[in-house]
Amino acid sequence: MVVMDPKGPIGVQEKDLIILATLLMLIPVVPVIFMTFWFAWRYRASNQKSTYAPDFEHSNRIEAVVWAIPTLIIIVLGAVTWVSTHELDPRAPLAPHESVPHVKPVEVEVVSLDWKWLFIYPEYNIATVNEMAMPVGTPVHFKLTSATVMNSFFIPQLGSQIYTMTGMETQLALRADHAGVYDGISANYSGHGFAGMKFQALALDDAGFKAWVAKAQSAQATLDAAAYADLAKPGMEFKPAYYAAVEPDLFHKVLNNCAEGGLCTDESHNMAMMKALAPGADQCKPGEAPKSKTAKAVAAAVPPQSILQTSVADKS
Amino acid sequence: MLTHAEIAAHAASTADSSPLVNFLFGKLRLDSVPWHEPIIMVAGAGMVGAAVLVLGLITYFKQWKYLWTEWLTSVDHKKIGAMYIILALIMLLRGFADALMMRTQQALASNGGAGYLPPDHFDQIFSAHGVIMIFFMAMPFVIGLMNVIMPLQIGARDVAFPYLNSMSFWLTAAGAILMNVSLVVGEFSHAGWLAYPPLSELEFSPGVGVDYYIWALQISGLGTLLSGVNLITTIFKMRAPGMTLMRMPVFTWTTLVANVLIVAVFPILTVTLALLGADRYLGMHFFTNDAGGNPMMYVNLIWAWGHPEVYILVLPAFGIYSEVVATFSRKRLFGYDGMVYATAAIGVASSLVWLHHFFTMGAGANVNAFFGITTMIISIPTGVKIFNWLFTMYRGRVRMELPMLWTIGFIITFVIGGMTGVLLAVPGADFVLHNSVFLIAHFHNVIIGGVVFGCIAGLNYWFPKAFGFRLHAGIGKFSFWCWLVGFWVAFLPLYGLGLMGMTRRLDFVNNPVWHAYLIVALCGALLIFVGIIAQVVQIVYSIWKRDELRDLTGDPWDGRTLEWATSSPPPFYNFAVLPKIGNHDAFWDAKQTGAAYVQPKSYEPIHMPHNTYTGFLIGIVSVALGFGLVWHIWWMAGGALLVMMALGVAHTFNENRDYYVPADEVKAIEDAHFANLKKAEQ
Repeated sequence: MVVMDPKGPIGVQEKDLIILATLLMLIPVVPVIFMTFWFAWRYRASNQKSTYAPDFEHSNRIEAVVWAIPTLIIIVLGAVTWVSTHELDPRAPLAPHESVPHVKPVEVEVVSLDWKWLFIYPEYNIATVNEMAMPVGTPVHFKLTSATVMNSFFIPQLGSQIYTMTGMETQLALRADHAGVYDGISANYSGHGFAGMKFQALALDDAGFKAWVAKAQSAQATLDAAAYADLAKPGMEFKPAYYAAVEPDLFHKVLNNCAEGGLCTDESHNMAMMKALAPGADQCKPGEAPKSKTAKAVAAAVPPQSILQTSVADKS
Repeated sequence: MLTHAEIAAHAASTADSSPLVNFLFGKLRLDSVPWHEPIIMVAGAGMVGAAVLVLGLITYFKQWKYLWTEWLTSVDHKKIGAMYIILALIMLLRGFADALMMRTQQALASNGGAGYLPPDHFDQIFSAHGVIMIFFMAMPFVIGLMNVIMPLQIGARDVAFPYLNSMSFWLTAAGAILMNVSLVVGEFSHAGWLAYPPLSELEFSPGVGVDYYIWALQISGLGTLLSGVNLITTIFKMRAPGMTLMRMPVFTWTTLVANVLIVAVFPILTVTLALLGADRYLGMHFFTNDAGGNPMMYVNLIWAWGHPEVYILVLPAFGIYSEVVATFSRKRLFGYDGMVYATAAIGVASSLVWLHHFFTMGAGANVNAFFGITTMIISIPTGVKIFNWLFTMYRGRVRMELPMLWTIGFIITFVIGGMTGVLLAVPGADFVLHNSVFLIAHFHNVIIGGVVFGCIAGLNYWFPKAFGFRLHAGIGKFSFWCWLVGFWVAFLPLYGLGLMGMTRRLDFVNNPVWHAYLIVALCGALLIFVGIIAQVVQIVYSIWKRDELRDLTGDPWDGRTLEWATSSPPPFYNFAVLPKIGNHDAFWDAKQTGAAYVQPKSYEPIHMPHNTYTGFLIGIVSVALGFGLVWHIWWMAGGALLVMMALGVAHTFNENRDYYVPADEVKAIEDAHFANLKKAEQ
């Protein structure tokens, strides 16, 4: 029961929550099951000795109790829910394990593809497919999106899952407190290759993690735009892969639907809002031929030149 | 069902066709039928064979006229209700065949094997299973029972709009037919029972499967919505004199709340599917990945319908249990007022919880906590209901007849399902249990344990009312135990597997530890299958032995509510004289005071509606509308739509809609009933 055998603080808290909520609910559930059998037997038609009160249909005392019991349980459970939901907010930052109090979180960018997982480590400029690693005790901060349909990123033994969705960025913080190899899955059906869309999460000691990063850094392949386009094609290739270098801002481009060329969504929004001159908005070059339908539509409606001229005119 | 490669080849072949062929057949070609798939061909041949057999038997026994005048064109709510239930039982067999295939596949493909189903076939099967079980099994079953019983319970002679009722049923049947055509001609959706985009968009589902899904649900959904309008009007306008709202039987109350929910939320489903259709047919971008589409909007909209839908199904089931418990405990329902308020509270609250289906989408903690807590609040009125049933048994005389057996099985099963439901409503717990087979176990726990058990309890309880003879108790008990034990054997392993991290909708698993659990789950499913077969045998055997099981009194269970006051089966006008109501246990009170079974001295002529074929024809032609839309055969779709409109308009010119049953005819029927009552006393 991997959910009941968690290896990190989020999973532990969720396991405790499941146990607490179940025990709370057993308070009314066990008596109800017992009463069902007891009443059915005690008041069976053949038992003429039991009291028979055919018009007994109302009792303030009983009704007060049957409304009060579930209400009280739900008040307690509701309070537990309010507090635990805020504590377990996937976006909330996670502290490191007490053995490594000052360590910085590892940043991992996750992209779900048909039907594989891409992990980008921007701090190390490496990327991997269907395998990720993290140092034990160090929080990992995930930023996640999808280049295809919706999936759900889930490492059952570490806790919380979160959806990956095209054009949306979700976040998640997890931590592994015990070294090990944990199964990772997609927990949201995403098409024919879904059942094989698995990865392994390696929780390694510090030296092991450094060696793992070094292994990726010394890989033959790099993840440039062309390699990414190849990777993004639907396929059921389940073997892990390593890339020594990554196209700059690849996650940002996937998020903005321009990793395979074309105008980025945020850029087109900026252009549409006549903010082409805002700092940092020029990552996709204006001269580049737009490829996606969106970009074409926007470019046709608002030629960059005209924005430039208007803006300049405004300034003068 | 076609594979992706076949769909691509198919698209290429249609592109080559001549304009005339394209006009005549749209995207439909001979290779749209998967001739080489033995499983589908056998299933298809079975369906066609059964249809031919039934049609042949009807012809052989010269029953066409009877079928046409007494059933197909009938506007009698009891017959329409019975047809809804027949549809539900047939669809139960189809949906359960899908379930068995899934359980077999997972059991075979969990120990290194690949199983016998390729992924695209498996994906269509779980999508079809969900759609059939919810839309074409549970919904028709519940609406059928409402149709048969509710007008009898309020002392009405039919529903408010009898012709509309007939049309509603035939539109639902049309949706079911379209759904089953997809098995053989083309493919069904592989995008799950709710067809989440972007997977259900053209980019990822280029075939016709999602289009079958859209049009089967749009057509049957229209029927459901109209049926909701009809039943609400009936309850508000056609109650017998003296029956105030707080004197209505609880089943009528739950019918009212469920139909208010239908009218409130089915339009959301219609609009959501229409927007998805606009994306697929008109190149729009409501839910696409690009051009500003937002799939999250679809997920919100579909659950804004989908969660209340669960209560549309389970509230009438709660109503059935309330009737059954009071009758078989020979005692007034405990806490009637509380039951009514609890039902209404559940109805309102059911529209405030939809987000709990996707806590993992990344909403903020305040939003998730809010929807978690509103979900839990629903368990308060539900808990009250359970206590009220228990205190109805308390100091009663409990008879363990079939409906009561199902009710006790329900209480035990449902409290566990409710418990796991509240657990899933805690966002922190849902983060690790969401989309797992734990979730699958939970909702089958409440849908089978709540809705299906309720429907079968209702079937056994009211069958003698509708047909004048009981269902065989022994076979029924065998079926009950198969269902109950089978349910737990099938779904307890899934609770465990969910905690082991097994997610839903996997066509292969390859985990030796899980293998054993999946084998056990398959055994449970087979046990349920035996229960379903026993259910069918029970009905067939009871029809065969109907003279032994005959009930002449119209009141075989010593009932409490008005439906038992008339003969079984009731005359087509239900009540010769409208009863006067002083209490929600109207018939029980009448029996106590001696007011029951007193034949009036004279009768008045009774105002009744004529049969009409319009509803039947509109429903059947709507199959062509859906089929034409699915395959882009525009002449067929347009023509069918025109015919449907013409039929509807022509019906408005039909002035000969109603007639008066002469008092003599009423007297003859009633005399026969009272003669039967005398015979029964001897």
